[in-house]
Amino acid sequence: MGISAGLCTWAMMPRSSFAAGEEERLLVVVLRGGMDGLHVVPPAADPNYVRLRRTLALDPSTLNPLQDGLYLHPSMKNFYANYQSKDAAVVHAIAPPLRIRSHFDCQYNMESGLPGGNIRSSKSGWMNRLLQVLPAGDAVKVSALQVGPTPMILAGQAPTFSWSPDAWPTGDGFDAWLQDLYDHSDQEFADLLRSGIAINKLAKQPANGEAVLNLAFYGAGKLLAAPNGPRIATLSIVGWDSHTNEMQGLPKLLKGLDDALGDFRRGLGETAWRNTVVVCVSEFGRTVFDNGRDGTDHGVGTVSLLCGGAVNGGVHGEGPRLDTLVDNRDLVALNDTRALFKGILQDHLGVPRKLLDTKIFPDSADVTPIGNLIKSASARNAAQGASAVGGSSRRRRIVPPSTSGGSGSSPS
Amino acid sequence: MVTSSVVPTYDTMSYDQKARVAFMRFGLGPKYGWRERLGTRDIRQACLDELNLRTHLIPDTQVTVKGNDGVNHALTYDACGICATNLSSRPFLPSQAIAAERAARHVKYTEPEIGFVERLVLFWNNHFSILGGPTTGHMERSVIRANVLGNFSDMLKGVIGHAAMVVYLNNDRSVGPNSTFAQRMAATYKDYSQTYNENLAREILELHTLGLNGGYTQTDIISFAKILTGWTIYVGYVPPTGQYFFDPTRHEPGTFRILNRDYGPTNPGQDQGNKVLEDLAAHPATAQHIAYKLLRHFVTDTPDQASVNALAKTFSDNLGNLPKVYEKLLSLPEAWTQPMNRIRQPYHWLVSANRALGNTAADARRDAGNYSVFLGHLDQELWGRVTPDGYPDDNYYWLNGNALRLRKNIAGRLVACSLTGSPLRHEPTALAGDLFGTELSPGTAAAIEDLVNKRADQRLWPHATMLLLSSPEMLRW
Repeated sequence: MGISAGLCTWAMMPRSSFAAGEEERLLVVVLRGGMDGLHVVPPAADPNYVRLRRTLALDPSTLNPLQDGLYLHPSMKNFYANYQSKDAAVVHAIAPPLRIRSHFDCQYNMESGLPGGNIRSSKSGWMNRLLQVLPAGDAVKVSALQVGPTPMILAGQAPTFSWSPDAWPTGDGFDAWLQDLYDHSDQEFADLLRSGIAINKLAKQPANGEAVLNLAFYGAGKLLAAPNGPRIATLSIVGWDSHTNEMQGLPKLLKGLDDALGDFRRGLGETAWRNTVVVCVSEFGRTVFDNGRDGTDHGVGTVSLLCGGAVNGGVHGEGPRLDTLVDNRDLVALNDTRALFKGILQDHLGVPRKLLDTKIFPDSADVTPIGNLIKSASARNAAQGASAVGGSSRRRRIVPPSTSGGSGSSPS
Repeated sequence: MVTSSVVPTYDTMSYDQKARVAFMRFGLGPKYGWRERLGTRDIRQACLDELNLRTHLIPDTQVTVKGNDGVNHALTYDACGICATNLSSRPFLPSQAIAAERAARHVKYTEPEIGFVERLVLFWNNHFSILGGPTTGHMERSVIRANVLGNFSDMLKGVIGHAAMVVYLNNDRSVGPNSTFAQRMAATYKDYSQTYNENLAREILELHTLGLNGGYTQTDIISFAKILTGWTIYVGYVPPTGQYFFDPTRHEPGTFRILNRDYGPTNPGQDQGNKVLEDLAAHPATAQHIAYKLLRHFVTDTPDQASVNALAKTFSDNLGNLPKVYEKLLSLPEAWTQPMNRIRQPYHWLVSANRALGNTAADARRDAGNYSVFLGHLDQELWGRVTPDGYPDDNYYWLNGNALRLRKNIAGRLVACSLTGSPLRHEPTALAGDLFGTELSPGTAAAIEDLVNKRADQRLWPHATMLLLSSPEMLRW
């Protein structure tokens, strides 16, 4: 029953084979403030690294090696474990096309999906336009979730719904009294409250003193895993603007992000994780040099992090390169965030290139999707067991859904 | 229930109906005992009468921050400027200044009977939206409050000529490529490339005056940006550091054309930009834009074009005299008869909940920090909007299941906060009856009464009060 309903929902989109009850999920995490990519994924083997980073240079023996001379900051233990199981990847030297080192301009640019050029003419974010091209199924099923207030990336005509964790429950008794009041005096409120409470119940776990951040990620995971829940979500984390106190402060943020991603996976569950992509992006990076105040100022290129069972592990895209800098200060952005998003949307969600080039990312025909970001279906199915198989780097095969896709469970 | 076939008008509405509209649409929410205080005055006139009380001003001395030097610092322009300049010797941080300003507003809101002027101040705050910084609150007090009952042109010039806006939209770094400053820097530094910044010019045209379809072009934006070079802030270690000033050395020399008018050396220095602002304020597109926004915010998501035109005409005919515009707004039939079918925006709702609870200035001071947390969750903290377009007025933006759930949870917290100051001031059914009279729906009245009657003691009075604060009567406008 579940699988055929899923098929109708996605009828217009080419689909690959998948096991019963599973569908592709996407979580976009916006790291607001300009994350220092060179500190998160240091190119510590580069001959220029120590000289350029000065007081921020990290000792490679304390770092976890990735490949190609890149390392991972030791604070991100979950991420590294994912990397070792081929479920995590990085794309370095990346930035949205507008590179003017301004927080809200560059965030706007990254979220609106517009080309470079500082024109704030969009009333919608690219994730909302993505929703607009996904065929409508059950109202909630294709709808997207934002945790917290509506961010630009999800703003637009396609309906979305929101959820946020809070520590102030009024209890089932009060909820029933208020529901009764609305039932008698305001039908619109009555319907909305009912769904708001139901969604919250789906997301919430008993509070154990978790920080809001962890609750938010865990809850998002539960919602994305729910059979009638959303499949696309976005979350934001602020605080990456490391003008000072970077050596002490940034590792704490990284650990926070790492723990939160772990909570997301726990909420999602292993079955849904297999078909999930999480991508973390930031609006710009930082100066290569420290700024003399144990920090860095606004820069250009940064790193993006991907994890999830559907991710093709490794290092993708171009760079980073330290032999040449922007304005003698910043990491050159060799990759465009639109190319990253397009690569995910094309290979993970099956969105046609034409739509990516025009509707979702306007005027971007010249921006080529980054390839190899997503595991093939066979690699994903093979990875179901305890050990992961190195994913084939070819694109996902599109097969009719009735073909058995491997050792997936049978439809219920 | 029998629906009347007569179209309601202001004159045929009941007193309680008009009052509910006044308090929710144009005010800060009713406080217990408002009937006794308003007497039999005409409700519309009572709103307009508030325009004649000069009680909305908040002097620097009423907003203070305890610095790390143990001194209570009044938030003067000097003090805010020092804070903004990031000096390691500054006695307090921007976050402290912003918190103090926000708290001072919550204190203020306990005072008015209806709160029409405060609502207008909030409207202009959102129209000239700025993400909170150390001088933002000062700007609101010294410019918006100072001009809310004056003229739009003066308000516009004051807002743009203040550090808060100039820094927020990056104009402090804007330099004319042919200015003496740029020429000097280019002679000294090989890679010098600083130039004019378009942000402020664009947002003034798009958001503050003409509006997106107001007829300006990219060329106009560039011309305006060049005219605005030099509108910057002092840099230094002592006051007036961090404050606005016009720097002629950064100003781009020449004559520039905006919307078929030339602005050149006959308007020297800052005058050149001021002349543009005056002309923009007087432009018919601006009158339309402001009229539309006023109706969109106060009355309905879909204003009638005839009403927009009428309000715009009043704006233009009176050369931007704002009280005349407000009077015209309140004279429009739909200002009163428009059904209350939108959800009240979080900030207004929270303020009205506190007024319904009878909170005092002391309560506001004690709990302002908590209110800030709640408003963060509700996504409408004052000066919390990152983008200069301000918080939307669209109903769909605010009304969703999660929002309703949060409101009820925060209603619980607001009652709890109030109880730390004093026991509940009113029995819940009496409170509901007083605030809304015949506007209280049977469903709401019954729910509150049932809860109060469930127990012989007062244990469920807080919950009944929470029901009231979450009711459609409190949540619709």
